[in-house]
Amino acid sequence: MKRRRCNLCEIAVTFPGEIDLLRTFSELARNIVFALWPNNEQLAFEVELCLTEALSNVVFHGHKQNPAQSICFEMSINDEILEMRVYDQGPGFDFAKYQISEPEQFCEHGRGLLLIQNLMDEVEYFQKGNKNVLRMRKKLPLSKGTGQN
Amino acid sequence: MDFKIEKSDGTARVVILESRIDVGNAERFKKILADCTKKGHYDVVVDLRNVEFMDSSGLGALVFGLREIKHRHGELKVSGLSKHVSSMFKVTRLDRIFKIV
Repeated sequence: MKRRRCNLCEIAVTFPGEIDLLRTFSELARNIVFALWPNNEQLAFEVELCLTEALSNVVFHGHKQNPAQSICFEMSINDEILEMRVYDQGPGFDFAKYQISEPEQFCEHGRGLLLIQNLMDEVEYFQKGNKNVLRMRKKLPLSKGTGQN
Repeated sequence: MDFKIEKSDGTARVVILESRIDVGNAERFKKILADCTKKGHYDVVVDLRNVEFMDSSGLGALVFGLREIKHRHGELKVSGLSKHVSSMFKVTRLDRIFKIV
C-alpha cells in the first residue's frame, strides 16, 4: 500500500520586489526548515541560499529592481519533499541555456543558478498564466528532526 | 559593513565583522576590497571567520578582489571559512582559484 505523505508546512507570501526585503523571506524559510530539522544546519543553509539566489534573480534580472512588481513565494514541505516556488512578472529567460553554463573562473556573476542546480534535486522554470515560476525541489532526510548531511 | 584591517609583515588581514554577506551588502564588501588595493595592499587575507552566510554576490565580490590584486601581481587568500561557506567554494569550483588558508 502506498504510504500517505504527511504535510508539515505550507506557506505563500507576496511582497514588493525590494532588495532589503529578500533577507527577511530567505531567513523565514531557513527558520522553518531549521525548526523541522534542528540537527540539519546544512539543509537550512541550502534552503536559505537557494531562495536568496532565486529572489535576487527576480529583483535584478526579472523585475530590473522595480519594487512595484511584486514577488510571490510559496513553500510546501511534506515528509519527503521540500518544494519552493518563486513567481516573477518579468520577461522570463532561457533556462536551458543556464543549465549547462558555468561562468568563467574570474567572472563575478553567474553562480546563482549554478548553486541552485547543484544544491536542489530538481529545478524547473516555466510559465504559469502571466507569470514565470522557478520551482525547486529537495528530497528530505527520512526522519523529521534526525537527518544530517 | 563593519570590518577591521590588521597589518603584519606586509600582509593586510581584512576581518569582516558581519555574519552575512549577501546581495544587500556585497557592493560595500567589494568597495572594501577595492580600497585595499588602492591603498597599496597587494598581499591580502580576507578573514571570514564571522561570516555564517554568503550568497553568490558575496562570492562575486571576492572574485572581483582576487582579479584586482592579480592584476597587480599580488595575492588574495581567504581564511576562516565556515563549513557552509566552504561548501559553496567547492560547488562553484572557486576552491580552484582561491588560496584557502
